[in-house]
Amino acid sequence: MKKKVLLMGASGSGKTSMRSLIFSNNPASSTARLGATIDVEQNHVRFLGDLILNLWDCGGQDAFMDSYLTTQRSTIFQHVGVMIYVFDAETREINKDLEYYRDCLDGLTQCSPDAAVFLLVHKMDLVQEPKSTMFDKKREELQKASGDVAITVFGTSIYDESLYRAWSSIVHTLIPNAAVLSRHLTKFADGCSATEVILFERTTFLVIATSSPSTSDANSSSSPDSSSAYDFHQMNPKRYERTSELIKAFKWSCSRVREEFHALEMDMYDFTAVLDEMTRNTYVMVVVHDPTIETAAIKLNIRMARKKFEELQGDSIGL
Amino acid sequence: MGTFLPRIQSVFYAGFDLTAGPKIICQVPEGLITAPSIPNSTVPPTPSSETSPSPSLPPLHVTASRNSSLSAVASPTEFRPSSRSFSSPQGKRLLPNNQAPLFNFEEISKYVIPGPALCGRLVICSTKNHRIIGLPSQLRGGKYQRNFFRFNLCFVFERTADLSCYEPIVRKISRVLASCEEESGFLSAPGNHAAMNAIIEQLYEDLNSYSETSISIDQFNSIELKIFPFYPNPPEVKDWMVPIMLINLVRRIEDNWDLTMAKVCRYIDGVNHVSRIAHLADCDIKLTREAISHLLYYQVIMTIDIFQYSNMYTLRKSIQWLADEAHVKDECGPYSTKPGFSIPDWPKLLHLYSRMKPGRTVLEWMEEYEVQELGIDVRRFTSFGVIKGFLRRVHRYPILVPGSRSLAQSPSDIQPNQNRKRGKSFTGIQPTLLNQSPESSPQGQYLLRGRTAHIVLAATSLSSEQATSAPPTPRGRMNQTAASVVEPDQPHIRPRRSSAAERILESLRSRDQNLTRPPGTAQASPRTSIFNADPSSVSTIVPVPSITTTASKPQENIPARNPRRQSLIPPITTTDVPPNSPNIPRLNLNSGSRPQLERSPSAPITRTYNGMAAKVAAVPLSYPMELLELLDGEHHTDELAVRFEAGWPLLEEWLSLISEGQNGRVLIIYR
Repeated sequence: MKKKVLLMGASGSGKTSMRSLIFSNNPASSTARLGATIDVEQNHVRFLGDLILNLWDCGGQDAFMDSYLTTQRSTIFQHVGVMIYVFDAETREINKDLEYYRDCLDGLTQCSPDAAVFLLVHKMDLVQEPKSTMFDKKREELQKASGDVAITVFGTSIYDESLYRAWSSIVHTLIPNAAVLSRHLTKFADGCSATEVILFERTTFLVIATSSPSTSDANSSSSPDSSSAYDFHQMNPKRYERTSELIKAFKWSCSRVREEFHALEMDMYDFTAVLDEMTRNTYVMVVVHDPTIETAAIKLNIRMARKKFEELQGDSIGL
Repeated sequence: MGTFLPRIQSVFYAGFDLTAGPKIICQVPEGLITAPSIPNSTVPPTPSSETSPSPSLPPLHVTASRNSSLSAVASPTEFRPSSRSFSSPQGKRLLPNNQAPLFNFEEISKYVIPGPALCGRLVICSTKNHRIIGLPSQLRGGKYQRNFFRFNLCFVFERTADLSCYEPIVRKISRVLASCEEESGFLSAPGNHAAMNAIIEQLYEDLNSYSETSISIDQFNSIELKIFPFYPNPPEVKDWMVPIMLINLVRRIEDNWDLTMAKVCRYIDGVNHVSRIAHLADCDIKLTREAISHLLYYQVIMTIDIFQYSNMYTLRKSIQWLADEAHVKDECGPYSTKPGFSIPDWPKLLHLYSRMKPGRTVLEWMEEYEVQELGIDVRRFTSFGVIKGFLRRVHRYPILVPGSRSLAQSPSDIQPNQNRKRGKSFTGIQPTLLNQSPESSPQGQYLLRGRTAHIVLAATSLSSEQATSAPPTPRGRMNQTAASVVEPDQPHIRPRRSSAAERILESLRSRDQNLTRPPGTAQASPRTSIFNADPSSVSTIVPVPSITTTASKPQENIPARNPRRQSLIPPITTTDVPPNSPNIPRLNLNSGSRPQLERSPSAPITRTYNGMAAKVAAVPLSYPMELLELLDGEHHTDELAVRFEAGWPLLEEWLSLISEGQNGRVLIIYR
């Protein structure tokens, strides 16, 4: 299954860097060497094996934007699954940005009315004033500019985990039955007596699904920051994206010494965690707070659950 | 060849602006390409400082007001003055000469400033009426804000222009500008647009007016350009090619010419082949080849093939239209007719041309159509066709096929039939012949041979010259294989012509009966070369150069041939010594005058050959060992002849010798 993902925004706002970080597994520092994108760069990213993300990284210079809105209009805006519009948090031409954004939104709603819209306020690390207030202000502005279209806004930076959070959410919308996955993860978590089970995509390490906290109802919450259940263990709400970021950095370090990352076992003072391959395209992380449970037992459980999840994954992408 | 250079319609310098994207930074003449030549500073302020129209307006309006620096019109493929003026509130759209803009930059921007894949490569793109040539460059550098600096200096021409001579110019300019940028940041420095403008203007003026220019960029760098007309590389010059002058070279020789060139030019007469020229001009063969190659490059000569009576020609497809061309019709007669004869009219000449086929040698053709009587100079006649391009030489490519030669002896009665039939048909009956023959190997040969069928007239080379009036003596093909029956029928051109295979068969049969030679013995000649008369000529034993030129009269030939044919059937037996009689006429012939000797490029060889023939002694003809290596079907007989200085008759001998000596067969492919 193919999904077209439009990545648009002002020139120099960080679209190609994002792509490089998330999908090409380059460290954040290497993005400084990227050049300006000429016209549209298309990438096919295999996600979860069966899902292919067709990423359209569109150059943001005026000439290109004008052409997207006129001559290339239907080529660009048709058959879009998700549009991600990137704003530079530090831009000096906010009005021009907003104008172009509105035009692109128009184009999108005309040609792909069912597409989801995500707005990323990027380069948050450069923001001087208190980030949350700035972000809220921005979000309001963007809501207003978007009119009736439903949007989701994230504040992101390539230098911290926020980018993973945003992208995990985005990708999550593209997986049709994430809910089913979540349900199964919950069951699995119960079976392992685990506090939480998280399913990551193998290459990008974006979160695909998580188990619901056992204390709350089994509603599949995809967005980590919307879990309302009481967090008994006081887990960091940013743990998902932090994990993504950290594991990715570690993977990258491994590759620098020409080793491949396979699995991780952590036997800590207050919890045990096992990160291992689940299916061909996914990793699973099982977090257990019960001190009596051995990592080997967890690994055994993972192995036994593998088949089921492979089945599920085959179904989940849908036919 | 016309050497006019296409006119440059516009020169522009484009770059990648970090905010605006790909744009034309300067162009000359101004405004021809719809994008202003002035950088952003003079265009209306961007929307950030002006109230932008409400979002409800169609994007075009918004776009226009936002980016007047780019003419992003709704339909960039055609120029619309109204939309342009709309897009630029300043109304700065009056072109100096009131010329319409050529096209919109947006159409080609992705090829002028492309992605990394196309950078560093010559890119030519076309719009509806124009072609644009440029070499986009991408320079990496930490000092650049987005890590890369992109630029392209392009030339605009009419769409039909031939841009080959501008390619080196564009490459050089790009190289020089790139190194200027690397050294001193010339291009990326903010204030340099005026300098660039001046450079472009000078390029435009100088290249159009003088086809050369010298522009100094700064203290250390300059652009030196000169446009040379661009000719394609000439084909390789081979020793067996015959150059023919297209202009009078000798009159243009000057003192400062290269010595070899001056010497070589004097011997280019349309008859001498390259190695002969080298010999006559007393020049090194390699230098001679170089000189000819140069003349070919400048297209003042062209090459044709060595004229021999054993040549075969055929018409090409182009005859369909060339036959109607006035220059062909009018020039052929006067060119080909010998002085003192009335000039035949074009239909007659065309008819003669059409009678040339692969497998029919020139001599045979001459005989058949009484070309001599018409007073046509055959050499000029055939070279006219070759030069005009409607006649093509069919070369013989001998190939040594290894394998046992032990062909089963086919019953002689079958063979002769086949032979005879083959002789007749050579145009159509072969397939059936093939079917008939019990042996497969000879079939192959037959097939091959059949095509050439009329190679025969072996006499063509050498002998033909001597005996222009002599009927062509059939020369067999070299199909050695024992049973390879040769063509034998060549001599019977006339009978062959008749469609009645039976009739020919009958006549041949009757002739055969006249002969007393037993089938087996005749073998000698089987070499298929249907040398005139005697089978013997071919046979391995006797070297006698079978060349044939028998002076024979057709009747003599026929009988002579028959036995040969028969003998061909059975495996070659080297025992028989052919009767001498056929040789005698040959000898006589040899001694005869050779009026056209000088015509033959292989004349000298002929002489030698004749000398040999004169001996008639049973001196074994030994062939050079290198010849064996060359029998791979890739080298035609002209090439071999020139290389070993042996005429076709001698070559044929050798080939038959080889066939017998080596364990294999020599087949000849015609193409």
